[in-house]
Amino acid sequence: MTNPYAGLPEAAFYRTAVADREPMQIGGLWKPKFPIRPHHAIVTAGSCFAQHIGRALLKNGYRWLDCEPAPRFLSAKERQEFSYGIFSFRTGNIYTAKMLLQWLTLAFEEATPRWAGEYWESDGRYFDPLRPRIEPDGFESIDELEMSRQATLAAIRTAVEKAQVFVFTMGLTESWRNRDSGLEYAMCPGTGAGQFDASRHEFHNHSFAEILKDMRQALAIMRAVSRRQKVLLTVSPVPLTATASGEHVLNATSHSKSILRAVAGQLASSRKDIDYFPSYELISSPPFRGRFFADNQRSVLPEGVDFVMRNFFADQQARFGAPVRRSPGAGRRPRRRMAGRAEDVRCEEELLDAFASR
Amino acid sequence: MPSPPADKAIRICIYGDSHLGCLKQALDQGLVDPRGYDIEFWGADGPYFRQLRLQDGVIRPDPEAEERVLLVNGRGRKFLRPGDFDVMFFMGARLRAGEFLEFLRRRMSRSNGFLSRAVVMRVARGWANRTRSYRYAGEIARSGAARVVYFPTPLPTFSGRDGATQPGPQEAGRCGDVVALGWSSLSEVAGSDGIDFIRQPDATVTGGLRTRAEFGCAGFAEAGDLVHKNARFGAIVLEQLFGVLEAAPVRAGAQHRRAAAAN
Repeated sequence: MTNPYAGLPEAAFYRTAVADREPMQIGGLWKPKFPIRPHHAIVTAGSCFAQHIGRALLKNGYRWLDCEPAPRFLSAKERQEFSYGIFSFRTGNIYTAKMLLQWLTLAFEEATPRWAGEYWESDGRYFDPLRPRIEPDGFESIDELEMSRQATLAAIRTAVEKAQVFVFTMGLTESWRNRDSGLEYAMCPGTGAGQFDASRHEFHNHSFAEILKDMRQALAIMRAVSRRQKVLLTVSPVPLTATASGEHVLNATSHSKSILRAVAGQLASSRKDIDYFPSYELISSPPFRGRFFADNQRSVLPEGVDFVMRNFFADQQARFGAPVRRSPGAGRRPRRRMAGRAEDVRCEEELLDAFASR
Repeated sequence: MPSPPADKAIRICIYGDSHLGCLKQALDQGLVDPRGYDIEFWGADGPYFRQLRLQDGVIRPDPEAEERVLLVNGRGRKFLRPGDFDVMFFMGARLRAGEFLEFLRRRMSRSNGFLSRAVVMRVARGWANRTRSYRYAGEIARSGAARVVYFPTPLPTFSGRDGATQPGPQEAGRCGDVVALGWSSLSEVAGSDGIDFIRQPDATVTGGLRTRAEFGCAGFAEAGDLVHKNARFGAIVLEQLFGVLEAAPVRAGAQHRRAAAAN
């Protein structure tokens, strides 16, 4: 061996792994640490890109857990409108590590934190600062808001207890919080709901150390519930809509994603049960020349999601072999119709008794 | 608005399935005073009821159901034109409110099952519109052909034999809140579709989701017929209907049609 690079595989060199290839032929970025099989219970949460992962897993016959399912009789549009079936529970987007920690604290810690009691009111409707857009027109009362939040917390508990793989997509470092209580909001007050008050609300851009600490605390809560649970981290490739950092939004995006990517890498390198899946690289890297972004240069196009998930399944298969898929209709029993027939006979008797005698 | 003159009765078509039986019995037994109303039945029981179809504003039976419709109607009316009546009263007609309420109760009793009122409203609308008769009722109401009133399929009779138990006070309270939400959402949805919705009166209900045993049809427990009700129940339903019509009167002679057209 003349030097440490001699004899390394093609994937180690930019020219052979990237530059010499058609972009869509680039692959093998992920060497998964653990198998993720269709029968594994998988939970997804986090930034908006996580919803694509859950949907793709479900579409491919994987056991994605919906722990707060939409009620029957809602249309697909209504389910979307009320944020059912987007993540494994109805939190809406969890953009930051701090927000994940807040949700897990509410779900699993016995004492209710002081910050949990804040609600936003507008025109007689109430909005949950942890998920202001979960009900398009807000809740009709604080009681209703609280009962709805309790249902979501129950769903989170179920998800964490049952999940064999917890997929969390990290989205942002920038956040807004309450100066006094420290409650971190899902979005800046006044942008979607609530009212901004500079004396009560402050901007905070989380540092690497803060995010690492919050993630470790969140993971500790989950690990206390289920020691066998695996965690798969991803970083959302979706750029910031806006920054309050004072930087150009491109710089702010780069700063934010770099920190998130570094935290994910740090956590994945430190524990066997935490892995990092490079959806961020598969969408945002230079060889793809932004082809997976919509015209707004932010939203990820369906072909981008497909590309990411093709890589996900291919890399799993390359390492652990092809999964055995369940038949979608397996185990279903034909409906019994006997009860319906008996009821028909009774209906006939009822009507004949009343009307046949005239 | 003045009461209808005695010689100009309000024409009511009671449309439905086998639940028409208890109303007919109530009238035959003289348990209600129908003066001021000209009541005509039109419908069919279960398998035949499914063969009644609304097309171009007229409800027609498939050939196999004609005989049963004529038997129920007793006036030779083979086709039902809602515009021939001032009021179309849907009785039962497969709108099984009990199933909706039970669904809601089960869902809301789960730790992760709470639904906001806004979601319940959407669920109620989605549920109601799965029932063909409800869609027909909405279509007739929109057309302005007649005023539409709907009484859903009565709740199953409490027999104590079907696994249902009388809830304790605490459970009854929780269940009562959910049931009240369910009824009010159905009323609201129906109202927005131009339909006067009559929820089953509390006096006939036990445990929120069952009809009191005293309103079950004769020998219901032995026959296992928790579906059909007796003449006393029919009388209460008709009193409710008359109450609705008196509270917001409709004049005989296509008044509703003209009012709707003007709107």
